Amino acid sequence: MRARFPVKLAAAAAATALLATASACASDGGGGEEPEGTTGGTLRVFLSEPDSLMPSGANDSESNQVITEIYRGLTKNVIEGGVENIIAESIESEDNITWNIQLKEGFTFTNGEPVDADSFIRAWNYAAYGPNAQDGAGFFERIVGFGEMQADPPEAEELSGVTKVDDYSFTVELSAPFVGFPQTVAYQSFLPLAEACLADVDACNEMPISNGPYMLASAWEHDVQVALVKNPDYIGEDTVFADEIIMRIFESSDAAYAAFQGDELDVIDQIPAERLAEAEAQFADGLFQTANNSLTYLGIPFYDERFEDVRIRQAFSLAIDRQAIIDAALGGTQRAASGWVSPLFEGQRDAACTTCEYDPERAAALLEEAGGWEGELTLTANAGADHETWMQALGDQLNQNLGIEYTLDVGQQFAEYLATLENQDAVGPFRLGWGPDYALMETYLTHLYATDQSSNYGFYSNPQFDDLVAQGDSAPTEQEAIALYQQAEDILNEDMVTIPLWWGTQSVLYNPDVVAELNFNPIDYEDYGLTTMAAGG
Amino acid sequence: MTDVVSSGAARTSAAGTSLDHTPPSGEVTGGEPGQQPEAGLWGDARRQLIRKPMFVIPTIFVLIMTSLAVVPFLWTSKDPLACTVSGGLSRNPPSAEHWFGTSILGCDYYAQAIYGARNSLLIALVGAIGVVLIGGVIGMLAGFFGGWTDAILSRVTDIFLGLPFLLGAIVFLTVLKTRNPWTIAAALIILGWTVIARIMRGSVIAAKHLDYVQAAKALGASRSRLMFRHILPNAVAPVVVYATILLGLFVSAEATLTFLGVGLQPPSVSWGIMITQHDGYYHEDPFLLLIPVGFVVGTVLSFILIGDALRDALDPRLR
Amino acid sequence: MGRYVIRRLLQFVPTVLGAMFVLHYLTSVAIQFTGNPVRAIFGDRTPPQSVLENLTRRLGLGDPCLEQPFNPCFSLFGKRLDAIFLHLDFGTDFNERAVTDIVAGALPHTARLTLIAILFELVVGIIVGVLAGLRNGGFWDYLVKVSTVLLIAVPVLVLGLLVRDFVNVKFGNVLRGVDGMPELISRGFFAPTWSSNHPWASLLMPGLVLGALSLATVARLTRASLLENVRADYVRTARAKGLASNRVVGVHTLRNSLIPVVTFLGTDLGALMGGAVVTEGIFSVPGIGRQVFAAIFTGETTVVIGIVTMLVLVYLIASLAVDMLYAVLDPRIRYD
Repeated sequence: MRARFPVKLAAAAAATALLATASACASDGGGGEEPEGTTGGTLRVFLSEPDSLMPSGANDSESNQVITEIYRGLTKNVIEGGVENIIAESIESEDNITWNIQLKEGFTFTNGEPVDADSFIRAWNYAAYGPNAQDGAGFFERIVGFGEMQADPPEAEELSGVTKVDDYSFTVELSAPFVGFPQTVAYQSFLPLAEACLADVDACNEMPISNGPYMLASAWEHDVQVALVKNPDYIGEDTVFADEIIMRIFESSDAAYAAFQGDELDVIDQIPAERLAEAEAQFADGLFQTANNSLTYLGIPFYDERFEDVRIRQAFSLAIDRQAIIDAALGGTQRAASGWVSPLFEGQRDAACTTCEYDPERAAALLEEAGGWEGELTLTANAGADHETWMQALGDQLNQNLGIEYTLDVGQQFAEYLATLENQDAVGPFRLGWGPDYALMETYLTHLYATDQSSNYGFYSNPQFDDLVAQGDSAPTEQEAIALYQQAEDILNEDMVTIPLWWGTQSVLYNPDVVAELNFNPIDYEDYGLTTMAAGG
Repeated sequence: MTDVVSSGAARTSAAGTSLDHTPPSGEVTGGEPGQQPEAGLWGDARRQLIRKPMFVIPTIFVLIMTSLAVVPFLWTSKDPLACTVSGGLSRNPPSAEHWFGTSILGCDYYAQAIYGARNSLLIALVGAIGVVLIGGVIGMLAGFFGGWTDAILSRVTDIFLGLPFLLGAIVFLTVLKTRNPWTIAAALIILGWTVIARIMRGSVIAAKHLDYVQAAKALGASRSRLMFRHILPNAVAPVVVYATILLGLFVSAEATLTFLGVGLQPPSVSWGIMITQHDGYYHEDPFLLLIPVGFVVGTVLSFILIGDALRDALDPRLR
Repeated sequence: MGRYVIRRLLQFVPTVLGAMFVLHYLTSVAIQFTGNPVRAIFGDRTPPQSVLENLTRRLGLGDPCLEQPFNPCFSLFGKRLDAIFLHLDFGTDFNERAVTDIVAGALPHTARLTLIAILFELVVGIIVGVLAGLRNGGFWDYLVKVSTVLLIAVPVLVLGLLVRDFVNVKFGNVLRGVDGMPELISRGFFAPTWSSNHPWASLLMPGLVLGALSLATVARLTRASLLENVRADYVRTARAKGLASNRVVGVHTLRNSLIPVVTFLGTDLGALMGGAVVTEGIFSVPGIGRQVFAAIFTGETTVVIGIVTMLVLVYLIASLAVDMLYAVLDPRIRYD
């Protein structure tokens, strides 16, 4: 499946290795060899209009790109995968239920307030409190006391599971063991907030009072730009490079690509699929490609009895020539998926799915065995996100290889589409995507396939799977947890729970006169602060 | 072509407004147009038109496009939806096998262009007919009865005239669950009838005060006779001209609405879908964009030129 | 004149209210049939029920009538009118940014874009219109006719893309490579997309693209009107008196010929502002078209109602201004 990418992946791996040394020595406190590239200068990068600059107020990747640079939390995702401690001195637990968090001292917000235990507790209470209606509230569901804050009217204003020990330490009690807590708190909902910020949330959204290595140079210019400068008071050991990062806001990646061509941008991390081949030819020395962690899949409505037989689901999967669709309709920007967990995650295996390769004969045979297919098939995807074209190609393949007549339902906007899925109204396979929230492979499992979970839109339920994930969550070490998670993924394969289609790849164009090396980490994608600058750039 | 449609709409509204101040073209002929076609306005117009290449050539083009829409199977034996991306059939350049090459999904592009004419022209035709009927009736009622009827209908017209064409159409189409040529035509009608209503109202008001109409009224002609025998024929010319231009603008509108994600959806075939699916590839394979754009431009251009020629022919002052 | 203006202004009231109700009803029906649009904010991850409900209420979409198909939601409409007219509260988008802030941020860009488009139409359209009119039936007449109509016939998305990628990017890159080329030209007029460093200059190309669509109309209106006026008695008189041809055209004919052009531009103003969606998108101009366009799909009804109503008002005011101008341009017209 990776056949098309060997060269690029090798290049990406080399780049990753280089960066690994760079960031490793940075976190050592500056000892050892100098990282390649220099600091200073201005970096102009592509951004879409973010939803919010309040950490818990948004969960879109645009907001995340800004917030990643201006805030720092307990831990941070790093490019090797996993997390490193930033403000946390330590995050420890004996039983995966009660976590003791010790903070480093000396960090401050841009208004001078200290980053202490209170700043985390107040931020978490604000985010989790139902009436505040924060987008990121759901991330606190594992903490004791979350349910009471969601009741209507709320029964509590604070998370009862979070207890302050002293100014620089606090404990968190989870409602069930979870080995991935340190990874989870790297997510932006868990960032600390200043008291002054919560006193005037609207103002803090326009001009954040942040605690990271960068801060806003001036208030957020909506639809125009977010301008960042280095925060002179930041004491963290993680080095950032550019003096200024101008995040220019474009309506579409297509317009941004034009701006990049016209030297108005130094980095663009989204290239329109149709322009990729052209970009590869034109900017060969400024192209960085790597796998990213989005997974696109076809969900199966388990409530539709036509899909009851696993052989039907396997036949569908085998009848899809993923690579041909990717090449023709997606500009080669994806990689055919062969499992339910994305590459770059520890524990991911390339052949987790045994019925994901293209094998039309086997597909037809399986369908035959299962008694064939009656009637018409409807393929559903949400509108307005360019899914029509590849869905049509996919339908053509099912038609060609299995003789199934298909129709497309691609007219529902996202909200309506999700409602359709939540109400079990889908009348055939449906498109969905998933991106990881934290650097542990469990982020691909529980929410999507465990019984009654929030994003289990196929309404799949298998107690064996639930049990293996729960065992993994309470495993004493991450390694042991991963082994159990892998067993859970095997169950998904046996049941052919969804049809994995493709993993994303990230193609980033940069101006080599300005940028030396990009920094890409599995969760936050481009981390512009860690992008090193070309000498004299 | 939002921009196009709206400006087109506005353009004729300008014509409509100016009709309030200057007598309508029909006035010059006097008598009862239509009864003696050879001597009347329409007869003159026909004799004049068939001598003009700017009318004849576009008309032939439109007739060809219409035949694509009505009998596509005479033009190609291929199925526009027999597509496959396997085996390197995506985006093949034009060849003997595929005259216009293949689309990104490996469909025969020539067959798509032929079959695409049907949806594109159907939307334009249904849209234009609907606009003429609804706008015509409302305009005539407002102009003929005047007073409160006029006041209310004019305010309603104002409301829809003020709504930006494209944004209004998008709002309307997002409400509808189904997207097919009929619903898209419905959106075009709802946002587009106002201009015809204004033209019609202006013509009717002007005609109402003409001597021969007053004479007919004095002779005791019934309301319906006045309206249909005496006033309507005078008001038809500018409506026909505008409707012709509208046909072109609506072909263009289909492409824009589809491009913006509220038009037809695959696996339907239309010129708009062809443009939308391939607009990003024009650096690599320009033909994928140029072919459907060529069909759209040719058709829009033809309709506008026909409308223009009609206007010239029907307006004796410009001869 | 004063009474006439007041009467016209009074007529605005039912029109604006009517337009608001049409928008209110359409957007309400959309929610009734497609479900709560607020849900989409949370993406694939189902939010806690209380968070969703609280946010929905806060965004003004908590009214139960929004769950009953075809319910016109009169009470919600009343509340909206009350908030808008009595408290000047136009609501917020889903990111809780006030609609008034959004308009204040976006309107200047669209206004500039429209102004450039109209100036372009006016200057170039009238010149080529006069040219065509004076050479009625000749080569220039046909050339103007075909070329301007061709601009209408090319879909704006295609025209915009071609101009951006070939003029602004490719030709612009050539200019940007020339030493000593002023930034205003290389990164202003020929900026690949709209640039905040040159907020006016980088709107030139988008403005030309937008204006190109109405260019044909202006040219042809000028031509037709000129032809009509050239035969008018007063022009014959002027000629007979022996006035120079240029003066006849320039002073006597053109002034009267401009009446339909002015009418058209008045109505075109609103159309351009609302119709710039595609142009703004291609050139990434942060104008109101793009705001409304995005809001329609995300179901941010307050943004749709607020901005589109404003566009209706712009249209109404522009048409009133046009009618006022009539009196100036054409001495025969008097308002009581």
